Amino acid sequence: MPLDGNKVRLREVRESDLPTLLALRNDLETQGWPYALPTDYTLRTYQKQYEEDSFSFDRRRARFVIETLDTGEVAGNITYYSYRPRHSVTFGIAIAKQFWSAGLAYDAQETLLHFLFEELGVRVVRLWTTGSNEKAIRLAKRSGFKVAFRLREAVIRRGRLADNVSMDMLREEYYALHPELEDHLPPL
Amino acid sequence: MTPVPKFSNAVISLRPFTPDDTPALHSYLNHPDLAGRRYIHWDFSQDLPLPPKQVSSLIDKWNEAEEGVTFAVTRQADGALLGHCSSSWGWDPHMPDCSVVVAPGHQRQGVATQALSLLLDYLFDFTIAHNVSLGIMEWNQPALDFAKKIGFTRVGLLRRESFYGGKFCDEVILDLLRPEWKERRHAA
Repeated sequence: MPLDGNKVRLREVRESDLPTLLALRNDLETQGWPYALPTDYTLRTYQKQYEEDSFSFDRRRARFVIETLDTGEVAGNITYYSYRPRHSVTFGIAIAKQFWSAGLAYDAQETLLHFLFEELGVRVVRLWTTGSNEKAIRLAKRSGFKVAFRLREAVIRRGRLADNVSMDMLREEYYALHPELEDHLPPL
Repeated sequence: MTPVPKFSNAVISLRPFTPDDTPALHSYLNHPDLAGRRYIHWDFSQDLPLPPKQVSSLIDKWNEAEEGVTFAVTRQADGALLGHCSSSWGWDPHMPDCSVVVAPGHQRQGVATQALSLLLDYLFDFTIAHNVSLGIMEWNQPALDFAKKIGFTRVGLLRRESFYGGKFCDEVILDLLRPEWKERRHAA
């Protein structure tokens, strides 16, 4: 069963996706991670990374391509990392500009959250953004995330100091917002 | 006179760990009072008994780290190991974190204040750090009082960071900005 939402499908990365993922990474507006600068990644490095990916059942990170359900186009990617099994995980999203404002990021976020809480059984999901990225904060709040803490003036963005914002959502907060689901895990 | 980093005062000294520190470090890390707040590399348990071999590889790990530093805190008078203090900045020297641990038996004698002051002086005088952060488990009130006294500001909670004593616990996140540190030092 693929991870299907209402508007998007989250699926594995294929070699044919690499140019799109590269474009997302090399665009200051779609990659929000200062660590990933500068925007000079090459198709060759992406291909190398793709080829070197080896099989494992013990993975603490994952990357899905966000594909639109209606046209099958690649709209972006969604990743999770820092996965502490059954405990916590952190995720991030990037959507190509031509797909902005179509509700795809929200749908991808909801689809991933469903997987993280229902299949991985985590107790808390986290994300990082910057204080100046109001769009990302709004998107996270729409799914029920709250600001956990703000490291003051910790990042540099568009020539200014901005807060490094951590947001989180607890398992019971997620299920309270999803009456169609029932949390069958006993509380710890 | 050429300014040089100061890693000692009249009472304590900060220096790298050596293999000779293994027995003393092994002894205090396994002290029950430090369970859950050892502030050691995440590859090692915060509460399980640590065998000497793991303590020895912890020292190797500390000494091999390139994007951070861990010091042994020792007493000037007799060289006794009093604890350890660390800072790691990963890829971003703008926002390092820090921690300090004092061995049970040497606590409440001003060791942590002196060690952290030397470390913060180094970070602000010899690196470009702007925001230095600190994480303290919510149940560790003496450490929270200590961080406040040093000048740190509470900026939020990393919820459910650990499972401890039969329940999930939050970690209090605090930070200290360069202008705040300068102001405090000027006032002192």
